[in-house]
Amino acid sequence: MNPWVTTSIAANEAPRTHALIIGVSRYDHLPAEPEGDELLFGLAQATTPASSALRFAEWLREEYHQPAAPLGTIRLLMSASNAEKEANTELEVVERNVPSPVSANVATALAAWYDDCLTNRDNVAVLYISGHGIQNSKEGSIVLLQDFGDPADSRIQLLRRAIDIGSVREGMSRGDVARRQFYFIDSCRIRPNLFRNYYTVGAGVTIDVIAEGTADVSAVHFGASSGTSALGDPGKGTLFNLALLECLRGEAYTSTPDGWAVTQASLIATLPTRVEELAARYDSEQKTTSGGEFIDTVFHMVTGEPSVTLTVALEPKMAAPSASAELYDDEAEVIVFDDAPFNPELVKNVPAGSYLLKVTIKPETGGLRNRDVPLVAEPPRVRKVVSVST
Amino acid sequence: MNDRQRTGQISVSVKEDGLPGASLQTAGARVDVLDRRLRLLKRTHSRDAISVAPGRYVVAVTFPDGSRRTQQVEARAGETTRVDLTWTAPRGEIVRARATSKAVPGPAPDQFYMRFVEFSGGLGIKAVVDPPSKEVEDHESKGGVLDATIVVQAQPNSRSVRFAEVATRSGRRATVGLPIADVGQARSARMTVALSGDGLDVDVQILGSPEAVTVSQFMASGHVADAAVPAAAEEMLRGKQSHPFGAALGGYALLRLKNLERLHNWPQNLAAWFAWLPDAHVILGEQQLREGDVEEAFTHFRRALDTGLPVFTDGFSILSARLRALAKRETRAGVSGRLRAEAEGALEALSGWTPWVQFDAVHTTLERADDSPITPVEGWQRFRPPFGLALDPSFFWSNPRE
Repeated sequence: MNPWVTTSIAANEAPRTHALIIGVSRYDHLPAEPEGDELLFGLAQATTPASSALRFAEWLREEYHQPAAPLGTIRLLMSASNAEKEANTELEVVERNVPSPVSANVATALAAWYDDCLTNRDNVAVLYISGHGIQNSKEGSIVLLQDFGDPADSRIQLLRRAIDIGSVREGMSRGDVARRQFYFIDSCRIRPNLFRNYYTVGAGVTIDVIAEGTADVSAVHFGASSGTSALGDPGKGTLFNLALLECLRGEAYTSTPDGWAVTQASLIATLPTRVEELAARYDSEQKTTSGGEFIDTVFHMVTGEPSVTLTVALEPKMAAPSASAELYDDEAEVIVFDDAPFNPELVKNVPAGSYLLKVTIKPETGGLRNRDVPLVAEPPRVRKVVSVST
Repeated sequence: MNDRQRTGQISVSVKEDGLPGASLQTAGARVDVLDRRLRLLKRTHSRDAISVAPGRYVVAVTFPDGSRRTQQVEARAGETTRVDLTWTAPRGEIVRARATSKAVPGPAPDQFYMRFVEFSGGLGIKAVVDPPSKEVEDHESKGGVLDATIVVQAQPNSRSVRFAEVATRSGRRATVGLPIADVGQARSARMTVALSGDGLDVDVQILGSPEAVTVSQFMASGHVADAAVPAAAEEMLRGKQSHPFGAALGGYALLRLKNLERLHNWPQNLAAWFAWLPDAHVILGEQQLREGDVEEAFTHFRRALDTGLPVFTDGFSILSARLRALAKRETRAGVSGRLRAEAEGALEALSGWTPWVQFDAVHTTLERADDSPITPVEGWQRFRPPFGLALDPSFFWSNPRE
């Protein structure tokens, strides 16, 4: 089973990032609509996890930048829903070329990913999984795979076709495996009252613990929608996925001694808020939990200077037609833009930095006056209200 | 010319505004010194003087709740540039999505039910015979939401873990761990209850340990790399006799930060002196496990469960993850068949509650639907704001059957 992506440098002995990405929307044995079958936990088909998996995989392939461990491999397994494929035809093409996330395939891919992660202690391990699941600790969860609910399975084997993320983390806690590990669990939450009788049943896909030791960082970000199908638009992804990608593309940028980056700490600080904000648009609730070690480490370095969306509003607003703005570096020597109008606000993209904003009123009458305002533009956006009243 | 004359100093002073739930006294605020392109040059905290080469900088101050302020400064050789800021501390440890943020059409619910419970051996739930006292601090009905703030206080000689249970008429139920006991500064805590339509949110704020609130905020807001956090957490753990719940939070923070040195042997003392506190045994067990003593670790996890449910979600999470791992582990050295079987039994007791745990909360919070009877025999009281001005606190509480 070949990875979806194997970069030209993957076989080098230098540190690499190895990713395992799984998205399960279409389940072989679940009905289209929820029914009362206890052995299926009352679940139905999901509509967005495969899109989420593909979007994250594409981000890794195209945008991920980790100079200390460049991308080596991406293993992608997914089964897409019809709604997703209609909304995004690319999904159907990709789905044909990657393994389906049935338990046997996932076990094989997991073992191969694990072996890759073992090749260098300075590797980075990334695991992203989206599908029906339930959280059982801040670090652990069980996610159901495509062949879950096979009628051939007995009641005591109910989770045979599920992956136990907690045990995967345990198995990855050893002194010779990737020292930095990032887990993203994007789950449509199983209703607890139907699942509780099977909580202690072991999940089938795991990694055995065969060595002692720990990773330096083993971070878990878990997003659970309150409904049984993940919130979001088919073809676009779950809300957790949308929020995560927004974080990786600017919302969670933070300054480090080596440049701008997305770090474990900046994700903890930003991701839950972004998920909640997106969920509110759907008039729903979705929670995000961060677990594992709280050691700050870089997940993704930003290439180049990040851009900041600068919005300047005037107080009073009626000053806008007679106002213009100039932006200088903070010693007023280098001009970034000049003679920019307010319509009724000024919106510009500028590089992150420390600036001096000059607002000019022409003519300077009617109780309005020119203003010079210090301004710090941090990504992703800054909004400044400038009072031009005398 | 000495170093001080060649460099400039930046001094950040933060004034705490209002009635803080948190305090910067121990932890300080995080201070980043950035260049004009906002590249990070130096990271420190507000209690330290900052030496820099003369020039223009941006100082970014991050407070424990995640709020951030930036200011341009110019550092001159031999001079100190002051940055004066004000921080209004939020009242709770963590900003959770609450029903209060979701105004709904229609009138607000006008009542809820409340009682105090404990989790006995086997983790069965039962009403307590010596419930904490409770006093309504504030209440409001607005935008379809009923909000109430209640201060709960441990009874004299009360040294066991209490949970507050809140129920709605529609069958929603939330059970939340209370960080209170008749010990040192840990006698009271503040609860906020918010009801809207079908929604119920209950939050708890620890009182008597501003450092605990501050460290919780730092952890929740993602500012985990702050140099101030381990020292503050260590101090909280050291001060266990004054606030065992604050000490437990400090212990959990050090475990998450993988800063085992700062735990010292204090978890041992915490568990010995506060044997009734499940979290003390969880922290000690986790410390033992990380030091490689699996048998000893399990003994403490078992003791934690015999004592009840942990007050803090971190404790529940550690128990759940570790028991699950021990019960399923086949190959790890030091795990005997007997231990695996016992871990499986313990996991089964805990798993009865696991599906309901809200893992994003600081205090163990079980949210579920439950339509079992609400009667005075089971310790329930009804909260209903009286019409007009209530001078007598007892006016808020009545028999649920009346």
